[in-house]
Amino acid sequence: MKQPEPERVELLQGTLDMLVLQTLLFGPCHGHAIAKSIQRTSDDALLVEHGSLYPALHRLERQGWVTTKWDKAPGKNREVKYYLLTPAGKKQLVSVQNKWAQLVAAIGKVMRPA
Amino acid sequence: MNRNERDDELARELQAHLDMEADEQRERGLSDDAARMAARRAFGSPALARERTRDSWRWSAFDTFIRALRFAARRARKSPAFTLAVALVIGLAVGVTTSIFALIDVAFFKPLPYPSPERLAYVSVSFEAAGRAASDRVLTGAQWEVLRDNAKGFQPAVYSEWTSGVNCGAGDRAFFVQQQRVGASFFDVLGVPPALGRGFTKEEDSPNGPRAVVLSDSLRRRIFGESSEIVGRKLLLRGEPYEVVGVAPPGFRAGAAADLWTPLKATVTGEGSGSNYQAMLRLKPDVSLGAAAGELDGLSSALPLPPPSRDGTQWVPRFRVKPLLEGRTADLRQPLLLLLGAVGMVLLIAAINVGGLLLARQSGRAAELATRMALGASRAQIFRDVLLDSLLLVALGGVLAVPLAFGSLDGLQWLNARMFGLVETAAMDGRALAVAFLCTLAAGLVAGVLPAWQSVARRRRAFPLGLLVAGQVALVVPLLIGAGLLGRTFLSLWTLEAGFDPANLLVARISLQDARYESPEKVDRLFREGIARIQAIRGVESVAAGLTVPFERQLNQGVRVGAQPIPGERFQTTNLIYVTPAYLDTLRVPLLRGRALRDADSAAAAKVAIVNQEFARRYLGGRDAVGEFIRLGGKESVQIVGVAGNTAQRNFDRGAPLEFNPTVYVPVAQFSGLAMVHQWFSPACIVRSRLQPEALSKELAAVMQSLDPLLPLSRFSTPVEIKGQTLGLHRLLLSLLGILSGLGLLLCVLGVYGLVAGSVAERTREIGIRMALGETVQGVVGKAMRPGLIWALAGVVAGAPLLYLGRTLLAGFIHGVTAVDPLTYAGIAGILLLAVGAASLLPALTLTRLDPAVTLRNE
Repeated sequence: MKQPEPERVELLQGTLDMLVLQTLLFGPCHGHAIAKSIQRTSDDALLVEHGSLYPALHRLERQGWVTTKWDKAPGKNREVKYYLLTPAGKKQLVSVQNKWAQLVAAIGKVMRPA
Repeated sequence: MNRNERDDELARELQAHLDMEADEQRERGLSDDAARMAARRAFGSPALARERTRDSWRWSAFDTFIRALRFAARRARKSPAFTLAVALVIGLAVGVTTSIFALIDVAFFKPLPYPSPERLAYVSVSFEAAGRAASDRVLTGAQWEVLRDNAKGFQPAVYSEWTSGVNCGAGDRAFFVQQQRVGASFFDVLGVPPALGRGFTKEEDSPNGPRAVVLSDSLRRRIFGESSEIVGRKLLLRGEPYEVVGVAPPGFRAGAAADLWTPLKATVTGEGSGSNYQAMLRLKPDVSLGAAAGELDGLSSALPLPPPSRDGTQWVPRFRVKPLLEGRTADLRQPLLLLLGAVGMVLLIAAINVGGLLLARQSGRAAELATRMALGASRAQIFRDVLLDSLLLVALGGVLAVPLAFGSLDGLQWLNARMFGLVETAAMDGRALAVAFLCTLAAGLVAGVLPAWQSVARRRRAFPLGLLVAGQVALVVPLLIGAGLLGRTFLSLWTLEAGFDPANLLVARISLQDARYESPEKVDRLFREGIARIQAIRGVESVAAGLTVPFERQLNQGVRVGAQPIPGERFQTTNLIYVTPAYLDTLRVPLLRGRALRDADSAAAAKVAIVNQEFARRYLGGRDAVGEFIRLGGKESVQIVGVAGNTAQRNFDRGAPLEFNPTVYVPVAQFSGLAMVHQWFSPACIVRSRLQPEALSKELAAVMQSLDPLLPLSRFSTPVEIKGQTLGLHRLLLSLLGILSGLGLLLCVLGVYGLVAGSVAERTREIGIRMALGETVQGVVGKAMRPGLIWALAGVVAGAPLLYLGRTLLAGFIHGVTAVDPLTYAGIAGILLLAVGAASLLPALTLTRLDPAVTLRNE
């Protein structure tokens, strides 16, 4: 059975980092799960090529917003790399969330004037 | 974590991701293969992900650079001939540029090797009238005294830039050494106190003061070895005892390299009546160069005014001041800039040429690059890799350039550019190497940017290689014209009517800076005896002595025409040569009127002189010169008894280096002021003989040894060698410009060849069809040559404006031909046409062997 493809939008430049941080707020996660989670929570609307996640993850790690550790995947006989949000990462998330909210509100005002 | 571990970890991480995705797809019921495919699709390019992730690592930029470099190195190794060609072209161009820079650096930039060199300045005097300024001159004694007695914001020093050879005796050993004469404050102003002892006192620097000498470190070692008890020792200099008062630090020099320094003893009479003294100053700590210039401007009013010139113009002398380095190298700046312009052009030609080679090779890589791009390589990456590829090849050339630069600097020194000791102090040092690096980088960017840009261009249209050929030709045209004009100048100077017979002549120099030879009688007797003994050597035809010989710099003297002074009359200048009677005969200078000098023209006899034709023409207005009177240096009058033909002499001031100048010949027995002129000139013994120069030199040395063992003959030369020295700068410029333009032309020819060969190879099939359809071989070859000829012609047209630049730089070096000399232009056009034609014809000729049937069948 073929499901109707939802209409997909390209991710806005620079928002991927924010999405990743938001996803990690609910606990440590590996890359695959992060990709799936973003897809799922956006109801498959956001097009995230899985490969493009990794540069973002490594960038966040270098900036000290996430740390990593290798661990057994639950129920699988396989080691995977988990990403954990650091306190600095949490602060960063709050800051970008605020900026994002401002941006959305501002754009909203322009697009749908009251 | 090191680089490899990190890479491994990333690979594991990505693999885990793919596996998990595949697992999920399998759970949805896909087959193994289909699951893996789906996982891949969802993931995108793993290679790209890996690349991008690596890019986010801190040191990745460097790592990717190394990787790309390794890749480029592998490619360079795979085509050694190509690599070698590029490296050679760039290496040669960068090598010569670097060696010329080493010279430029010494003349323009490198601080002089004295403490606080920026506080040192050079003082000259210019004459100004009605807004015009004559060229700067060095100081006269009177001008120096104005400077010395009134200086406030600075300390001045006077010196002579030139060195002269003198005999130096220490114990029982004799040395022929180079002496430089300097004033009392010389070492203080330079800020270099002697390493041992002291500089000269005011007393030692005044006429008849105590005889003192400062030795160079190397001469001190030659004479005294390592002994430190040197100050106070005595040396015999020019036959007189001198006391050593100091030893300069090792390597010290001011201008030409000197072995010892003696006091200048500047005067206002004798040599001091002419512009013979160099002056410099050191600014006091709180005085700027501008302030010193202001002070000197004020002092200028104290300078004695010269008499008005013939047209009534009153020239007013003014002190001029500039940084010492600039003052010292004033004469060299233009030739060096000329050379810099020339090497710059060659470097640019080389870079463009290599750019063309790389571009041609690039077309062979189109498929490879398209594949890489399809696999996800970004344009920036491809651009970077292709550029790096070119840079690596060019960098190999840069490495090759270093030994070549060393070699070509040696070559410059060998070419005997006695540029005031400049070439000797030029060295390949860190600065020159840095310039070599920058030149290589610049050449690499120029050569590499086009292929790199072409490789990522969205519209794959071939860049017209012809444009590169045109660019090279445009740059080589001014080089060739410049070399052509210099060559014509050199030829006209070299073949200038000498006015005497230079064959079978040998000139020996004797330094007569000797206290025992200060009176005309003694010098006359020395010459008579010497000449008599030399005349007795078998094979010697004729012998004479004189202060100077043709082709070299002459003694310049003020002269007035007429027996009696006329009020307001001014000096005219003439060359003055004291001679023994047989001088003109030995040189075979024709006597046109009157009589020759003879032995009877002794000190006691009436004073007589012979003038040359140029003197008679310029100063006697065509009157019969014989019987006229002239007064040399304002002294008693001398009667002209004969007129001789002109000889080519080294010019006194600017203008052609060799010219006919007004000249007066006087008998040595009647010449006064020998001690002074012998400070500047070592008189010449001229021998015409059928003997080999080597054999004759030995005989002459033996004669002098028997005559006066303390007067060794210092050097032997033929007139042609003297001419070579006089034209040395021209010869140097011509050789260098010739080599550079030859190199440029060779590169252009290669460029044209490559262009035509490439287009022929590309269009073989089309040409085969055209031939099959009946086109003649001549027609086909002609058409194949066309791009080479057309683009070269375009280059010539584009290069024409550059000729103006060349003309400015060449002005002052071109004599006897005009800067728009039609013969030069026609000759260069011919050479260029021939070269470009041959380079176009050769590859086109392969078409004559083309069999249309074979070409068509090869489809």
